[in-house]
Amino acid sequence: MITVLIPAHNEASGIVGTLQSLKKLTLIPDRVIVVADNCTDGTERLALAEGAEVIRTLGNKDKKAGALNFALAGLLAEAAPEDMILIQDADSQLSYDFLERAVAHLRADSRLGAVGGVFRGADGGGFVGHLQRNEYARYARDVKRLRGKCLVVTGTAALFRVRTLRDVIAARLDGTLPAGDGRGGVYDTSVLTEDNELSFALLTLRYRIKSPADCTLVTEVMPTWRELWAQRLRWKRGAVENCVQYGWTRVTRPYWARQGLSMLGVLVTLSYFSTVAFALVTGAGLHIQPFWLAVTGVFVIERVVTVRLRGWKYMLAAATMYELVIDLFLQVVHAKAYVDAAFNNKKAW
Amino acid sequence: MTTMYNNPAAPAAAGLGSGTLAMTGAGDLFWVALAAFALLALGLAIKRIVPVRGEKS
Repeated sequence: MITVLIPAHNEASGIVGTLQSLKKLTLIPDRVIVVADNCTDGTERLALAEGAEVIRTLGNKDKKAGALNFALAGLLAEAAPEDMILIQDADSQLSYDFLERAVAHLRADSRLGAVGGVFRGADGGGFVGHLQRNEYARYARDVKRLRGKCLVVTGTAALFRVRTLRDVIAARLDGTLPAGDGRGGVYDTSVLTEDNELSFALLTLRYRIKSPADCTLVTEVMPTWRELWAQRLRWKRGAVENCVQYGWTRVTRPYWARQGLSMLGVLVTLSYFSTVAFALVTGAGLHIQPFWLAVTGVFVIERVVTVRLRGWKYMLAAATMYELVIDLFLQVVHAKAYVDAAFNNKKAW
Repeated sequence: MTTMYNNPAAPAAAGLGSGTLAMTGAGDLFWVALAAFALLALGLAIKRIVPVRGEKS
């Protein structure tokens, strides 16, 4: 039995498209449940009209993670161990064969804890939307090259076995994993990035996670710089705090390494532009060096090659390095996330 | 979702976009450290460029 669970907080604008995409799948799920969480718009009505079941949360203050725990508590109590649950965002449309392929991947490996998706950015959002679509295309290429190996099974869409989620619950209750909501909920309601934490949890329990290249979906992009800022600040700070939460373990070592490199990158960016500013202000000047020009050429090639999934026009445009706008923007976001995490500034998302 | 395409080479690429490293008098060690990171980023960039086995061209 396959159940699709869609947490939704005021998702009237996207829920119909999401539910309609589920009707076009080559493998139709047995149940589709929309978890309406504190909705004040037409989400529930639209979901019911599309034939989905609707569960309404009661007094949930823990956002998406709380809504999912609420729904899973009932679902897991009734399910068989090998039943499967697909948890997907309300603003994402699965490709027609996503579920069929994801199920096949899960069935082929008893220690595969979760199968995630590789996503493309939906249309819209102007220039900032375009930059995110390029970014997603690069991510998809990375995952494809790594044959589905991924750092995180994203909350965008992920398929789990019931027994896997029960293992997570048991481990939370016996102290093997962080307690989460303290009531045996699958998702940790105390973190900013519950999908990242659940990935850590599965890896800690010696499950594997995977985002196969053939499990694709389309997800919304952030339509403004402000919203992208908020989203990435949450992702980055959440990732850092998840590392702190789990400490230095067999699982987290590569994640810490990436955080270290990322932090170094922020410092280098800051240092470099400081030196350039200093050189220009003092009149020391900048000297073009053939060696560094060649190095720059490699970075240009990297930009061009890695956006290949978007087609030749985008590859050509990437050669101008105009995407440095988002690279530098993300550097600032990362710096802010590290500062917020270090000083435990108020979390908001 | 947390781990998006996060290219550590980006700051170096940004900094080297002019094909230069500023000699500011801040000290050789500082410059060497920046250059070292740039070369690390270069390695990562090359790693991303090189096709992997089984990758369709």
